[in-house]
Order: sequence, then C-alpha cells, then structure tokens
Amino acid sequence: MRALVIDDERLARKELINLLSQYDQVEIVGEANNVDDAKEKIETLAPDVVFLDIQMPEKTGFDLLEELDNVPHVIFTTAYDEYAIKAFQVNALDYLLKPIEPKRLGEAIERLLKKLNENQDKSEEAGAFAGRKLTLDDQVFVKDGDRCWFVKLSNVRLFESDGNYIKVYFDNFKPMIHKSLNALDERLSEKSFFRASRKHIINLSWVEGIEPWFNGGLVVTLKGGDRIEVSRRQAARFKDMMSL
Amino acid sequence: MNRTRLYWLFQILGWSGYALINLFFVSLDRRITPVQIGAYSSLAAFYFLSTHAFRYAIKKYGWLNFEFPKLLSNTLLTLGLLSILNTIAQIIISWAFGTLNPETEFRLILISGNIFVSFLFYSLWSMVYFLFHFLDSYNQSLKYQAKINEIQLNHLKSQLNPHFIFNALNSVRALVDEDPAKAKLAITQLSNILRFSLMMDKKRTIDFENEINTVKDYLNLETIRFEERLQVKYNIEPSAFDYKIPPMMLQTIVENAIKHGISNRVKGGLVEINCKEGITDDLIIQVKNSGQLKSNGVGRKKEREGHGINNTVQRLKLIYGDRASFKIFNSESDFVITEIKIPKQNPTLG
Repeated sequence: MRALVIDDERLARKELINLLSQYDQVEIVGEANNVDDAKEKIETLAPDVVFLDIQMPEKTGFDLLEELDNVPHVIFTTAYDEYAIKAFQVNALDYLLKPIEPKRLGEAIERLLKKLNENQDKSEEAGAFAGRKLTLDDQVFVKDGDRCWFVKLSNVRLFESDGNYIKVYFDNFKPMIHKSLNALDERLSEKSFFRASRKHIINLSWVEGIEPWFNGGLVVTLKGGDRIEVSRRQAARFKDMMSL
Repeated sequence: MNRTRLYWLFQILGWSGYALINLFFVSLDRRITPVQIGAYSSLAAFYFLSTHAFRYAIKKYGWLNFEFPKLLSNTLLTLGLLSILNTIAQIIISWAFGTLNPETEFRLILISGNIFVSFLFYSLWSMVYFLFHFLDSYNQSLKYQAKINEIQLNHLKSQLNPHFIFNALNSVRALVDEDPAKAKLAITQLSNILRFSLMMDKKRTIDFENEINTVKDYLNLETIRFEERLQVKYNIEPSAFDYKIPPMMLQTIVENAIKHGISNRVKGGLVEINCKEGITDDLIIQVKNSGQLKSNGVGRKKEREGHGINNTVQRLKLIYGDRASFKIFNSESDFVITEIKIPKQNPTLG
C-alpha cells in the first residue's frame, strides 16, 4: 500500500511516518506540506492512500479533495475540529485524532487493506489509476456546507446542472459541487452513465421505466420516482445503447 | 429580615409609639386618666388598621408599578379620604368614651385642624412606606445588574483553544525522539499554560507579568510547531509590569495572530508584541501579525472570529466601562495590528 502523508507541520509528518514505519504493508511514497504540493504529488505518485490533515494554510484538506478528479483512499488526521468530526461521524469516514493512537492507526490500516483487496478482486485496473474513467465502484468526495460525503457512484442516480454547479442526487441528499456537467461527463464511464440532455446525466443502473415523449424524445423514470427528459438527439443514442 | 416582618414591626412600634408620645404630652399637662389611655389607644388602633388597609390596597392594585404622577394623585386622594375618616373616628371615639363636647368639638376650625393633623400622620406613614420600597427596589436592581455583569463576564471569558493543545501534544510526541531536552521543556511550558488557564478563570484581572509569561510559553510551543514559519519579537517596557489586565485576553489576541498571521499562510510570518505606557496612565498593548484584514469576508469562519473580537470588546467594557479601548487595523500592506488600551486605575466594581 503506497501512502502519501499531507500535513503542514514537519513534526506532525515525522510523527505519523514514524508510526507508519512499523507496518510492512505501508510504503511511504512522499510527503506534502500544503494542498497544491499534495495535488501535484497525488497526480504523479498515484498513492493508494493519503493521510490528510484538514487545517492547512490557505487551503484545507477538504479543498484538496474537491480539486481532485480522482480521489484516492483518504484517512483524515486532525487535532481537534468539532465541525469536521461531526461531518465524519455522519458518513463514517475514517479519521485519526492527533496525537495518533497506534492502535487506532492499526485498525484504520487493516480496514483499508481489506477494502483495497476487495477492489483488486473486482477489477484488474490496478496501476491504470490516472486517466481512467470513473465507474460505479469509484467514490467521489462531496462537500456541502458543514457536511461531507464519500459517495459511491453506484448510489448516485442523477447529476443535474444548476448554473456553475452540479447537484448530486443520492439517498435523500442533493449537495452541490462546483464543476461543469461537460467536464464531469468526460470523467464518467459511458457504460454506467448517460448524458440525457444539456442539464442531466443519469445512472443507467437506476433506470426503471422509459416512455416516448414529444418530438421523438423520451422520458426516463428512475427508481425513487425522478422523471428525466431525454432530448431528441440523445434519445436516438439512448435507444442504440439499450437495444441488442 | 423578612420584609413582611419588618413591616409589622414598624407598624406596631410606630403606632404604639404614637399613642405613648401623645399620652406623654398629656401627662405634662395633667394626670393621665384611664379614659385618656383608652381613647389614645383606640385612635392608634384606628391609625394602625387604616394604614394597613391602605397598604392592602397598594399591594392589591399594584400601585408601586404606577407612573409617578398617577401614584402621587392616587396617594393624595387616599390620604385626604383617610384623614376625613380619621377625624370622624376621633369624634366617635370621644363619644364612646363619653368625652364628646359638641359645642367645642364641632367647631369648623377644630375639625379642619384634626383633618390636617391626621393628614400629616398619614403622609409621614406613606413617605416611610414608599421610600422604603423605592430604596429597596433600587438596591435590588443594582444587585441584579451586578449579577448580570458577572454572568456575562464569565460567559465572555476566553478559553484555551483545544486545537492548540492537541497539536502541541502531537509535536511534543515527535520531539521526544528528535530532541528529548526540548520535549521536556515543551511539556513544562504546556503544563504552565494549562495551569494558568484553569486557575485564572475566576479572576477579573491579574498581574501583567502572569499573562505575559503564559503568552511567552504559548509562543514557544507554537514555535516548536511552526518552526521557521513563526518569528516572534517582544518589545516590553518595564512599566508594563505595574499594570493589571484581564486574564487570557492578550493570550486570545495572540492566538488569533497565530491563526491569521502564521497558520493560514504557507510561508508563515511574524508576531510582534509591544507593550508600553501611554501618556494618560494607561497600558497600550499592541499585537502585530503578518497578513491583512479582509473587510468583506463571508462564511461561518469569519462569523466566529467576529464573535471573538466582540467578546474582547464587551469584556473590556464590562470591566473598565469606557476607559479601555480595542482597535484592529491594517498596518502598511502586510501587517495587522490589534491594540488594547487598559487604564491603570482599579477596575470599576459592578
């Protein structure tokens, strides 16, 4: 497991690296002391996991995750941040409180190794990390105000553009991310997601019903009841894709 | 003493005193007869009962909450009515004791004289009664205000930032391997700060020396954390040590300076503490940090900071009234200065 340690304080990095050195399965591939540095290193080193401090100068750990197209596994490290901890507890993200308890670190690493192994069994894409398209098994990081989520794409039924933002529909939530629908469309695997119109991208595995609509368009009903119009041009492609 | 018991004591002592004094003056003139004792006791009893009835009305209809003109007119009217009733009672008492002499006592001058005298007694009673109430409620509101002030002050007192404590402990953990001597020193400094923040909690003001020592310990610990990113400078005049300042106030300002001047900046910066005596016997404390104030900040974080500054301003106001001041402003294009001015005199009580 290749790990990148991100923290603005040298001693904090040193302490964590020192703790991690006791685990043979973990290889430290680098250190970063701010968000821009970290972003570059994630893109070039492609770590399996980042140990990420939340409070850093200028940009926070959350900002980093929002900037990344491809989010590796993340274990947050924080000294004390009520808001962040609240956000984690809702979503059961993994986090470690500084000073880090070796036992907690061990548990977090074990959980992560298990997850990595499962992923490896499912798809053989190990190594082809950068430039790869996002499939249903991938996770995206979404933050809206005080709350944040790591959402599995298979749970996202719909992306809807709204000005400069995209609303991400999953469970009972629809937080906004700052991105264009075109950029997102390019990142998503065509096998799983379909650009229904200028405004919408739907998750094909959530489609429940299809009806013809005016002008040769279609209306797709998703599980849960959302009804999305498919434009005429896209309807032809949709039929092509869905037919044998 | 309970206020109701106080009332009864005054009422009984006052009116029996009235009867005794009257009898005393009579005795100077001639010998006291049982009839005179009975008559004056009855009259005192009438005063006693009628003023008690007056008090009942005052309480029942909440006169003490009336506007002053209404209270005055109501009182004067009642006093007039009571005086007339009292004069009638005097005639009945005379009659009952067989001393009524219609020819002298029904003269207009004597009746109006009696009305006037009883009016005076009733006025005296009302004055004592209302004065007591006004003084009492004034005292109560003063005490209430003082209590409120204290509660507010406790509420505004700043606490050590937990984020700092845990980060410091984390650095110390790393230092244990790297530089054990430095780690030991850091543990001592951290315990000094914790002890200070626990002990000084209850006090309104403390010696400047205690506060500045804590701030120095604090900045030493932050230097361990931020290393070359944090530069610290002190310019402290010896006269500053004659002053007393509110506990944890400078500490909070320095914490904010670290947050904005250092931890939010990749390259870090400078924190400079200047303490000097002003011309009007006050202490001027300036904390200068790298960075710039942004006027149109939005979002949750900004609000919390505004809250911190507000707390400091309110604390100064509660302790010193208008004699202390707080300012925060940009200095040149790359520094922010936070300035508090604290008077030398004892803080106002309150």
